[in-house]
Amino acid sequence: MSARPTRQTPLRLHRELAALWDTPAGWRRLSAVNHTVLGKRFILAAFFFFAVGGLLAMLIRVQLATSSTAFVGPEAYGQIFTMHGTVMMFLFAIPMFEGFAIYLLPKLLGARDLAFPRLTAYGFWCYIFGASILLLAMVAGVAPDSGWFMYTPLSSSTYSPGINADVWLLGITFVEISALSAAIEITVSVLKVRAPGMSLARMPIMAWYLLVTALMMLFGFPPLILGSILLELERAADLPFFDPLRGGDSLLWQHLFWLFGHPEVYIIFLPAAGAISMMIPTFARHELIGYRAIIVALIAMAFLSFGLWVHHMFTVGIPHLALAFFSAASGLVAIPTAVQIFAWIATLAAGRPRFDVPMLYLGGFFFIFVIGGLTGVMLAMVPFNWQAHDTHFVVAHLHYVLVGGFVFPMMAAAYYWLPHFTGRRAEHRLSKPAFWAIFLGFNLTFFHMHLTGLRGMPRRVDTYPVEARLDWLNLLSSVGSFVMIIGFALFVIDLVVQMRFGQRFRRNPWAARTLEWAMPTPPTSYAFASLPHITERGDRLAPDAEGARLAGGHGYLGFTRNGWMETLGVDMTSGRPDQLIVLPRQSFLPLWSGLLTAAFVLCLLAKLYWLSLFAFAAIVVSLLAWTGGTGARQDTGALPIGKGASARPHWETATPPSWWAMVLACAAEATLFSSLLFGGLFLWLVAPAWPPPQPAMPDPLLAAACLVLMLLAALLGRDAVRALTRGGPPALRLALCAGAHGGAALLFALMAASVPVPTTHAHNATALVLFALCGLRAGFGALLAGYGLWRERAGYLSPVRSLDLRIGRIWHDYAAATGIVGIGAAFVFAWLASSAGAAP
Amino acid sequence: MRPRSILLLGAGFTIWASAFVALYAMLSVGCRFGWHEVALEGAGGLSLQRLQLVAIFLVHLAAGVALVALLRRWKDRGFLYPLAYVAAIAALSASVFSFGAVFFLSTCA
Amino acid sequence: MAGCLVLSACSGPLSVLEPESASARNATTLWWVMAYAGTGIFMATASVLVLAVVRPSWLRAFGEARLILWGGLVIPLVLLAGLVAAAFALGERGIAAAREPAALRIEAVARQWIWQFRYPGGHVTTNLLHLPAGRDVDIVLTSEDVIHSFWVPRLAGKLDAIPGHTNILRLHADRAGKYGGVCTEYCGIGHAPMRFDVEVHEEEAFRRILASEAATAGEGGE
Repeated sequence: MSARPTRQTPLRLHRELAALWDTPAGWRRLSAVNHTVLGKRFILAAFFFFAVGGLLAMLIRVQLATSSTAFVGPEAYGQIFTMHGTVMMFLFAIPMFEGFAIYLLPKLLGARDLAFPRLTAYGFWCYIFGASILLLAMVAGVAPDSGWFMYTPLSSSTYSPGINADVWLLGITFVEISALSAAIEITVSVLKVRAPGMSLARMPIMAWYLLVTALMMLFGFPPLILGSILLELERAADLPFFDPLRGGDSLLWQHLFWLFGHPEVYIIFLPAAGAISMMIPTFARHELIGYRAIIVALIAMAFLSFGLWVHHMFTVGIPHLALAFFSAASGLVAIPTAVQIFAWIATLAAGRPRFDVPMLYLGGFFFIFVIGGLTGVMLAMVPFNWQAHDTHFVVAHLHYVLVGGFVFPMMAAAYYWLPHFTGRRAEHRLSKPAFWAIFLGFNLTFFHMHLTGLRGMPRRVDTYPVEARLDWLNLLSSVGSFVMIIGFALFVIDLVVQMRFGQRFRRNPWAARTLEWAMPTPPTSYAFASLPHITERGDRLAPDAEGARLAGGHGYLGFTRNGWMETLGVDMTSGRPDQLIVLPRQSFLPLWSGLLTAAFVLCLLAKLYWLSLFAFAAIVVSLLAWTGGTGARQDTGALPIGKGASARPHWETATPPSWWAMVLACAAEATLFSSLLFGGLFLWLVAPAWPPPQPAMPDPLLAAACLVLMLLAALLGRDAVRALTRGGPPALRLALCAGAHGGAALLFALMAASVPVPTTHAHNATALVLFALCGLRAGFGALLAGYGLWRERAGYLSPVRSLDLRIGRIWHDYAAATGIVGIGAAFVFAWLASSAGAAP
Repeated sequence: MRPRSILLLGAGFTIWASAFVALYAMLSVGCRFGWHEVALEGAGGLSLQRLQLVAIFLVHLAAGVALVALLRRWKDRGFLYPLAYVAAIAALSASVFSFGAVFFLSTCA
Repeated sequence: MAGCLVLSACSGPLSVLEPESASARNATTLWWVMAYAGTGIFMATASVLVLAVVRPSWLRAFGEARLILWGGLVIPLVLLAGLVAAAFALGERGIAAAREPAALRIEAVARQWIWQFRYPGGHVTTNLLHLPAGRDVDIVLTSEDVIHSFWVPRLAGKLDAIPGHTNILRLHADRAGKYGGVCTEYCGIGHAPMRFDVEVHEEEAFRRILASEAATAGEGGE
């Protein structure tokens, strides 16, 4: 199908690649799918929201400057502190790290882009539109006001009747779509889309950090998404999941929220720690010491951080032994952190440290973060926590951790990688005064806030009693915060000046030894003119020589063919190239899908539920439209990829990125589903007003029929793949598979409809959601089978091009397995609900 | 046949996580059904609650030890195995640290 | 404790650092121990960092792997184990002491945005809690609407008042005096002013006050 590619001159190669990869100008910019472009957009937007959050913080500090300030009333104050936390967590920290990862990751891995460029774009639009809803609500004065933690019943419709809480639940869930897509994108990219030769053992340490972070997001966000769905269902449809009078429990919300909320802290910290692990070796002029120790520390941290969420709930009245589990894990998580800190110190000691501005900011990180870590261990100790919980001591602690652990490293990273973004070397006139203003201002704001808290100042108050003599402490904090904001203003000015007037340089200004510097700066849209072959660990490379070689087209894929945007996929462990990944071109589809998703969310906000169904259908159609033009209508076979090697295009291989994406999507959905099952059991165990008056016992006949249909769907899905790979036609099996799924979905709908009055008791409401979720899964299975059928009719399938059916098979199996669990759980719940009265 | 998956890296801590979930869940179930007030004659007056929690803990501890022993056989091969081995040891130590309190602390409020 | 440079910096009606009961004193002692230890750990870590830059040869002689092993693992683990054991013992002591119900139970009912205290015999006070000195009292916490949290910093740690749940907090004030109490869970626009006073009386005075409260309970309760 193509002539054997020939070697070009560097300039011609650049022109050919740029013609393919560059984002078009004008309004067609909105069709961008390129990681460099989208990474920058994410970072800029996140920085804008950092400013918004900072402004809100200033308002808080003005209000708290004295005990008798009447700057804003309590209603406005509720919105201000709620939005400060929400904006900083969801609209600044997470998107900032996402943008950073999106921009940097392919360049570190020696790839031309991430695995799913259009998903990056869709994630960006979800972030922007979701954030805009929150911002507009704030401008309109109806911003969320029950705290960023949204505790029920305060956030329930009885006590928050307005639209404010709905804005939070729907807007944040919208933004979380972007977080989940980033999680899948980053995981798959690290695992599959690397330069040949980059085995796991040779990955740059940042890739490990981002892999662990992305996996944590994959399992951390679903509980909150489920919680938000349940709470929105309670607010909109009166399903009483959190209402203690009808078998619900407000503590369920706290569990679901903090099950997300605590890992979230590490999700924010780890990418920043990864950046530190990249910068320290460069400035120490020595490779990272303790590469393996850090990887083990990361694994430990990832798991431990899921075992300490209850330390946000030490005062809700839980048995001491349960507190002890969480207390011990909370203390223990300090160990992997200490391992990393000492690995950095050891690296500095082993090398010949060179001082520069990023190192100054890393010094600030060290000072602030270590203090935050130490107060964190203090708070993990239960008897002290009972005193300090929900006071300004915690406010001080969390700012030390988050500003120390994220903002300072990210500022260091900004100075470190800005030359990469702009191609201009830094001029350090303002960076030092900016640092000192931020550093001193920060400590002036927060250091003695520990004392403010210990002297009895609770969180989230807009006034405090003058007798408590907290005025001077608070005034000092307010003064400090203004010093800090001056520092941030200087920081922004400094960055702008550097972007405008910094001196141009040719390559690798810091003499770093990682791959992202082996390219022209500012980077070209295709990142690498040809892909390197990696023979060394990621921080032992020679980017200058390598960069020149790659630009000359001496690596893999140093050519263009068929107008394809190509990069390579590798075997996960060994880094042997095993596929040629053909990436999708620039497209407006992600924007359309984003707009339709926004329409869906707005319909829900406006309570136009019938209309929202149409919007939902439109989203599905728009997402299906993404697949048009992917794959091929005839078998391609192995193609040359340069350096004498060859590889099949990804749709002819066993495990291309999209296959892994489906596996990960199932894992995320399984987490959401497990959270629901946890909720059902939790309510039975803990909630008041049990047992329910009418337990929701499913009809055994319907359930049995449903089981049979789901198993049938899974078997037919498998058989369709078998038939196809043997050269037979899979059409009939696919049609039957879709039918079986459809039937199962219908039966689930029937079972959901037969749940006795779901508004009377949380048990019944849970059963309803359980059936609805299983039904949705079956419906999606029908859609996937139908999609397979369509692809078959359109000629995209053959014995070697079976990917579409194999992706479907994962889902058919998954839907059957979880459907069986779901039906089993429904019976168990009903049985518990009827015999629960027997428990003392 | 050696397993070659990157998932090995998380094997040790998966056992830790399983112990965590099982202990926390069964602690709540036991308190709900008053198992802490059921003294077992045969076990020297130990409460049913304490007994089942200790059993869960020991089962997971045994699983953790078995994993460490298994990974020890390949601990000098390549890149993944030594890491998985060290991670399994770390997870085992974390289990002792996090759940050792099942022997001592009061189980229900 | 000598931790505060200016003594008045630590005092106040809501100050954790001026405990007036055994359990609050334990928490405060724990705090000071951790504060001193934390300062020491911070200094030590910072010194190692400074050494890495000014005297790297010392650390290199110690060995980089050993530095990570000792600094990152062994020493923090030992310190942490000691701290956790102490905290568990302290927590267990408080719980063991509260195992038998106290003779005096006072119901604290929270609602937006007042605290109502109901004493045996049907006396009710609002935003004012009377306590006897030198004996155990169980505060039975419930909420009529959203989650609130009951905190008298100088007497004990805080405990939440959650709708549908009953939590019991053991108080034991050493001596008579006036203390402050606050709601520490955000509960809506009246959260900040949702404070209450605690008056601890000698046994005799406590009984007298309850008797006189009983006389005005009809109107004083609301």
